[in-house]
Amino acid sequence: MSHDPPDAPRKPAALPADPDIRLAEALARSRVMQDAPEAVIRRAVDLFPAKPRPAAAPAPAGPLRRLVAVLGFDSALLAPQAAGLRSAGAASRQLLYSAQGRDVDLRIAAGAGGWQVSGQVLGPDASGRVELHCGAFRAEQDWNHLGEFHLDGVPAGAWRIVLRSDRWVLELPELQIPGEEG
Amino acid sequence: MYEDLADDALIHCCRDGVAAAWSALVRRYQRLIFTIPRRAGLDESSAADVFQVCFQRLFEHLDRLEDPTRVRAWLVTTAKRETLRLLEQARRMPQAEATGPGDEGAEDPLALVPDPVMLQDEQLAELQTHDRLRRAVDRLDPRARQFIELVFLQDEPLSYSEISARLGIPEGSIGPTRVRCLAKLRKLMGES
Repeated sequence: MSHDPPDAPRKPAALPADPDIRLAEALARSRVMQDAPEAVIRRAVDLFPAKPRPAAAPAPAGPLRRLVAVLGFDSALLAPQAAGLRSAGAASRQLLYSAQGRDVDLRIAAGAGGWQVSGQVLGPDASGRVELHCGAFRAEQDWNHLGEFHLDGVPAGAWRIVLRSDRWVLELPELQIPGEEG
Repeated sequence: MYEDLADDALIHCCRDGVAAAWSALVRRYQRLIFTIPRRAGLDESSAADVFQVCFQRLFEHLDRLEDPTRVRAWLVTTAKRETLRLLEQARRMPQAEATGPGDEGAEDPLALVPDPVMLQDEQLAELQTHDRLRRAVDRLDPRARQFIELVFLQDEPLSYSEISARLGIPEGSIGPTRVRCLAKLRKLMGES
């Protein structure tokens, strides 16, 4: 994907004085950059577990710390008409939370059999577990070595999401996820 | 957050067995390392092979990198060499093997010739400049990043009304938002 003219050497043009114009032009030129497909990236990322890792330090004994999550970003708030997931257009939502040295990236997308919830816990914790409660529904999963998790078939309703490591527990603020008509 | 660590710190974390640091390193340079073979004319599949070779070798050499601050240069050089190797391999391939059955004359053969000129130092330096800018875009807050991507990085420029609709902001806010987002980006470029 190239936006450049044929690749003959070009004489440098005089730089525009306005820094915004210079930056805008640099951004336009940068469109030649091409992201690697996610599967290609994943294959390279997955090279790592083959390397033996040092044994994890034992968790200190003591009560679990209860962390407090602060919402830093919610894609549903980008559009003024949005309240929860938008019923029209892209049925997906991204939320970013911070909690005392950890970040939680949560993505919600409509699926054929309910909502799909994927996320990543970014921080120093090598292992942990995510739980999602919605009425009588409950799903849980360990996050992988990259802190990633994925839950399928989650019904609409009031979601309570709890993340646990061996040293702390973090409950995200309740999410109201509307049904298709919402 | 490993994404904020300098290259040498990431390498040290990788050496200590921190998988998240390796993931951050791969993602930091994925765009640059994939673009190098693509700009030289290799197809996506071959570019993916170059990409894998680069990171496989880096993984194998993690403990032997003499100067971890120069991991980007190491990756670029490896990508260039591997791309040249595949280009040379393609050149040696008989024409009959280069095209699939039934492809004869279907495309202009000249259009299939990759371009090693794109691997000259000047072009590679330019790609690294682009990559530095795009990584700064990646580090913007999500809203500013979305704005920059919609306004400056679309293949087909969007109208103000389309941008307004997609971002849920009035058209009159686009100009001031543009100024603010570019200022944030310039600040990140200054920090990196």
